[in-house]
Amino acid sequence: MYFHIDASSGIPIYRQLVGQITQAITGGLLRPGDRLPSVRELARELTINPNTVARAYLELERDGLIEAARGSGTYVTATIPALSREERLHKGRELVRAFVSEVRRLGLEPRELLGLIKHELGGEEG
Amino acid sequence: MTDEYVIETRGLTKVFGAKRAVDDLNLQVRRGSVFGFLGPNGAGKTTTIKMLLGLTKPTSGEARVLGLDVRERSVEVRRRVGVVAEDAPLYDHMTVAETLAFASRLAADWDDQRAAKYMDIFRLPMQARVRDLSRGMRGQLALILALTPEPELLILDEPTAGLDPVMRREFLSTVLDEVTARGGTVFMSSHVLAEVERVADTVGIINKGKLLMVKDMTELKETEKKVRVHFQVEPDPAIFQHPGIASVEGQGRRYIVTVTSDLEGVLERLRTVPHFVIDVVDLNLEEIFMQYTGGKSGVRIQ
Repeated sequence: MYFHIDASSGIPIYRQLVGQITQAITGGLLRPGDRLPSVRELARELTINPNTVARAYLELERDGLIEAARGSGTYVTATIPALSREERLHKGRELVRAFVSEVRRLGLEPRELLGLIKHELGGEEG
Repeated sequence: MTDEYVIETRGLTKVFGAKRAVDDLNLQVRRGSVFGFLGPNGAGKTTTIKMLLGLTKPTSGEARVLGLDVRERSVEVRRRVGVVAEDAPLYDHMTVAETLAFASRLAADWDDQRAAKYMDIFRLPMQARVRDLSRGMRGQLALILALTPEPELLILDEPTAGLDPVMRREFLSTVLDEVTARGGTVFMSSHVLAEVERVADTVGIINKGKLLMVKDMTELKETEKKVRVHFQVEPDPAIFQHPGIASVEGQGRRYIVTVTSDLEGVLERLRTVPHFVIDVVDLNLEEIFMQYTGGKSGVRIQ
């Protein structure tokens, strides 16, 4: 599993981790029962504060996506709780907000941004 | 004095002639945190650190480190705190091996095995004389000396100056793994904002001797925002009167609003005026730092 942390983004590091692990789980890259690196391993690999990794794991645990087994590590839970429509919309809104903010940083106009999104959706919409 | 804070200062002040190098500093550093102490050159970072270690006498105010008054018990403070500073007290004529042997006799809790482990990480040449080491290698040697006694508090003053990017990562990873992961506290001054952003969980900004802000890094990034707004009509200036709004740039119908708290409240207020765009811009540490120290933030009105 490969994580990419952009420390100089305006998005807190723990949120980036939560986002990437959630995506890996919902996208099937991480499967139920898979073991996540320990807090210390991941902190060392990414050169980030172990407290930050612990915070991300805690949030993922609260969301029911991962589970800490006493003394033997942290695992992806067997069942992925289905999110309600409202929760999915909320997550979507957060993702879009973060995304728009990052793209804005590139100095793109709203029109260009919409063009890019339409292009990406092109395949799905036909 | 509680055990919650490993560094506590009250009204700490240092005056050099007409200059207030450190001015009424009230600082608390929580046990277990990685505290990034930021400021432009000459802001008072090093003077603060010297006072914390009892190396410079405060003009007024007090400071406690690990619960010890630094005026009265500076020797004990220096023995218990690990320090890596630019002017590390290393003897040029000694070899690396001699330096380690010398330190082992001075330190209270020296452990040869731990020292060997760190030597392994940084691969310093044992027989080289300190005077022949590069600046980066001197920094690594100072870190090995500081970490080996497993200090509960590690103070780093511009620790990665002179290190190449790979060594810098290794240095910081080692600090986090050896100090933070076992519950110790790191207090680091640095002007490399990107590295502080990576490792610190608390940030303090000092400028011209004054502490301008101390915040949790996550909270900082989640609360400090710029809002770019393009109204359809010219708004009543009263719209910007909100406790969460720190400053407003722009005129007519286009503005950039700097928000330091209650983003939702501010947005709600701005939305009451007909608008084309209201757009929230996340700020990284450098942009926030510039905002506090009076530089340009880089977010422009479009």
